[in-house]
Amino acid sequence: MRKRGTLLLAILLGVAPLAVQGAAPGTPQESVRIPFRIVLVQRASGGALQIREVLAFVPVLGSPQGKTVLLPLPPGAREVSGLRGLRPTGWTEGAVIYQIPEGPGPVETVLEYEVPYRWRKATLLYSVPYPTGSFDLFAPSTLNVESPQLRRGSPRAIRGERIQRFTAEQLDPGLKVTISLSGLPLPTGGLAVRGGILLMALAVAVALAAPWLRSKERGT
Amino acid sequence: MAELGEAALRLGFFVALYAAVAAFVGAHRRGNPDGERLLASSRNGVIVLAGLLTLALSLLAWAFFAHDFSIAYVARNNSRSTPPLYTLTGLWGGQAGSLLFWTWLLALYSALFALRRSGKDPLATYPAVGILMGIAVFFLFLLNTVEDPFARLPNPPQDGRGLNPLLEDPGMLLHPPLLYLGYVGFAVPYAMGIAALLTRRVDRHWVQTVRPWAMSAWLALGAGMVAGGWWAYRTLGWGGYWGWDPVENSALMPWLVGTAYLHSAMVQERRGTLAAWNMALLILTFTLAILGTFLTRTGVVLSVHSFAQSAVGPYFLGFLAVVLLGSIGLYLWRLEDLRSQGELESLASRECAFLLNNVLFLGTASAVLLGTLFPVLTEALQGSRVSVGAPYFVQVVAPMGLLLILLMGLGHVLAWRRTPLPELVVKLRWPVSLGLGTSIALAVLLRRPLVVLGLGVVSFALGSVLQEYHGAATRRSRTTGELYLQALWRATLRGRRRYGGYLVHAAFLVMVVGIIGSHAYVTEWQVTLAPGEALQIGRYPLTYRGIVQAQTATARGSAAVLEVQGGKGFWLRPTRMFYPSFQQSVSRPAVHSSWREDLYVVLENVSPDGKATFRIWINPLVRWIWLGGLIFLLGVGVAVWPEARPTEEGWERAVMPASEEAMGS
Repeated sequence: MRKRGTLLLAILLGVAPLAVQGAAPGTPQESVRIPFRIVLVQRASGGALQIREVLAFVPVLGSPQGKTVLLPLPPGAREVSGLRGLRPTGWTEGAVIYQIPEGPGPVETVLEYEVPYRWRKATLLYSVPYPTGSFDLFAPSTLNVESPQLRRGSPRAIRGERIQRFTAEQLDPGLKVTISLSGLPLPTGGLAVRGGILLMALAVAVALAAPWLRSKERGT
Repeated sequence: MAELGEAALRLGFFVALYAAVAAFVGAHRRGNPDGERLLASSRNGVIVLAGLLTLALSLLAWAFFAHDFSIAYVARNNSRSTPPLYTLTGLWGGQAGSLLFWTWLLALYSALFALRRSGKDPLATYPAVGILMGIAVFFLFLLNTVEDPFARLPNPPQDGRGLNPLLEDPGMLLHPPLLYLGYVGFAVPYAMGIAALLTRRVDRHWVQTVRPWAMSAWLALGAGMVAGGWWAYRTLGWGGYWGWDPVENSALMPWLVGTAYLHSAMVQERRGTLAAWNMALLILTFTLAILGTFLTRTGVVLSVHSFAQSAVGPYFLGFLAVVLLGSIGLYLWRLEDLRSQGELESLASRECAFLLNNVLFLGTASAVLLGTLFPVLTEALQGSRVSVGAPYFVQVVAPMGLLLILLMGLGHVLAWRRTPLPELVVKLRWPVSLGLGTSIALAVLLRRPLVVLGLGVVSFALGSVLQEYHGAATRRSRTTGELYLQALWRATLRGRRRYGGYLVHAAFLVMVVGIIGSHAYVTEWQVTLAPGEALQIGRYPLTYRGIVQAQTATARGSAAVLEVQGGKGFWLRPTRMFYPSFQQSVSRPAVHSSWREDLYVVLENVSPDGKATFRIWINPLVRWIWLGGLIFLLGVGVAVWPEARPTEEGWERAVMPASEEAMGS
């Protein structure tokens, strides 16, 4: 119930302008555990997937408190914002940095980011940094989703929209979760840029080939 | 947009590579239709490259003005509060942008060169185009790999860091572009030289075609150094304009060698000698320009220009090695072709004076190079860095400079081939009198032997310049009946190259007067004053009125208000500003400038009770340096401006000295 409530809350949340980003060594994996991690693929626009994550950290009993932990995001993640709960303290290349507060119990966090894609496909690669109780992916039913590590769960309906669910339990640190998405809309802005690049390349090719084209013209 | 810019750079790399290969292969197959088409295609490639890089630079500029902080380079060198002027200068304020700017200038130079020269002398032009495109390939490789100006941040900040506070000065609008124009400009004469070696066409004609390109590069580099001195003087707040910083030296060295080349090339044009020497100078000039770029960008030696450091060092070193070894190898291979067609006939000849001046220019450049690289050499040999500092440079360069000025004065009165002694005596009469007269007068007034000697030599050289102008005007006035000033003007226009050159010499002499004055008679104070406290600084009664808060778009801090009474009276407001995004405090001097001296005040510190510590300099004659810079621009402009009828005959007349005209030789 708690997870479902958090999920709904996360979907309804607004965006807070807190910027994070990052990469650096992590804390010992034993110091923290992630009871749940929920990844929501919200929409695809402008050549990027908008993703919201809801997860919790639980300090492992007996480990030193007040530790720094790193949460790696899929490669290419950008525009990272902390929305609710525990705020990121910084970022390194590809990972968000959190400072786990002292005291017992889980600490929740909600963050949002986008991952760019090309053409109509995207691949999301999630590294599991700490023992993770469950990993859930929610994506609009219009998308084709494939993942060797996740199994299809029962679909949900949220605000009238059908959402498909993929899930896995008890993930060990070091595991990689690969998610392939297809059927994404063609990025319109990207298309224009690509068209521009193509035109530019064509103009260059014509300019370089002009002496041959001209002589051919003269020949005919 | 960043994607489009990146694509333009990627495409540019392949276009440059193609244009280089097509130029060489086409030149090799010249004569058959495919060879001709390859050459035409290569020329198109050069023009296309200029277009692509113009597009890339425009897109980067657009990103700056749109504050697109998703581009890492924009985020590092721009902020929303950066004023529009410095938004523009941010384009070349960092490593990647300045490399793009460098490459863009190279592409423009190459396109201009290909368009101007390809129809006139394709055999020599295309190999040179190939060399230029080879250089462009190297820079485009850097831009596509280690220094991508369009590299994006995965998580763009809301605001950028802004431009380095030291670069927030109008001088930055002129100084770097001019220096880059100079550095890049020397690539064209170098490429022409290598092409001449490859095609075995190292005759007088070749030297003539190189001249305008070498002159324009030399002008830009010289003007860039003066603009740099002006920027340093107004911004850095250490009271001076030239600190013998490694990066300053890096610009000075190719300029010195380039100056030597411009003189010795005249000897080759006139007398057919020194071909091997000239080729060596061209290679050395470009090599030093690349070395300068390497030093500027790698931080291999400590410099005030550390804002442009990055990891391009090994690549530049590799490129430098290729340029140097390749050029030397080709040079040695073709040494036989460079054999002189004439020889020096007399010591009392202009060519001999030029040769001596070349030795001095090269000696000065070597001394500067040694001093610049001394920390690196001592670290390699002893394990610890030892810097030589300004006194070394002054002690080495000043005597050589004086000798050069002496030779300059002599050079004006010496004729080509030989000068008969009686004529030499006659022509030296007035300049020597002026030099001696000045020395005697100054000896009474100043009692500083070295200053007296320096200004005496300067007067001698200036006398010889004035004598040349006077001689030309008088001769013309006598034969045409024109008024003196009209005759002077017309004579200058008819011999632009010669009299423009003299104007450059005069500019240099004016600058030397300023340099001598500001070095020999500089006075410095460090004082702490309470509000309302007064003191006498030289001839200026100065009162500290207090501190006011100062704020700009990117900084906040304090401005001290100083009132200078007496005469017309004026106010000075030196500031000390803190730039939060750089966590850096910068003191901006307040300067009151006159033809006699500059009162230069720097606010060093402000204590809570309102007391302020100042460093104050009186720098005599500094304004003469900037005046010399302006005359230098005018002189080179006159010298490179094309003659009305650029015939071979007209050119011969233009370079022929008055003494020869008089002798009828």
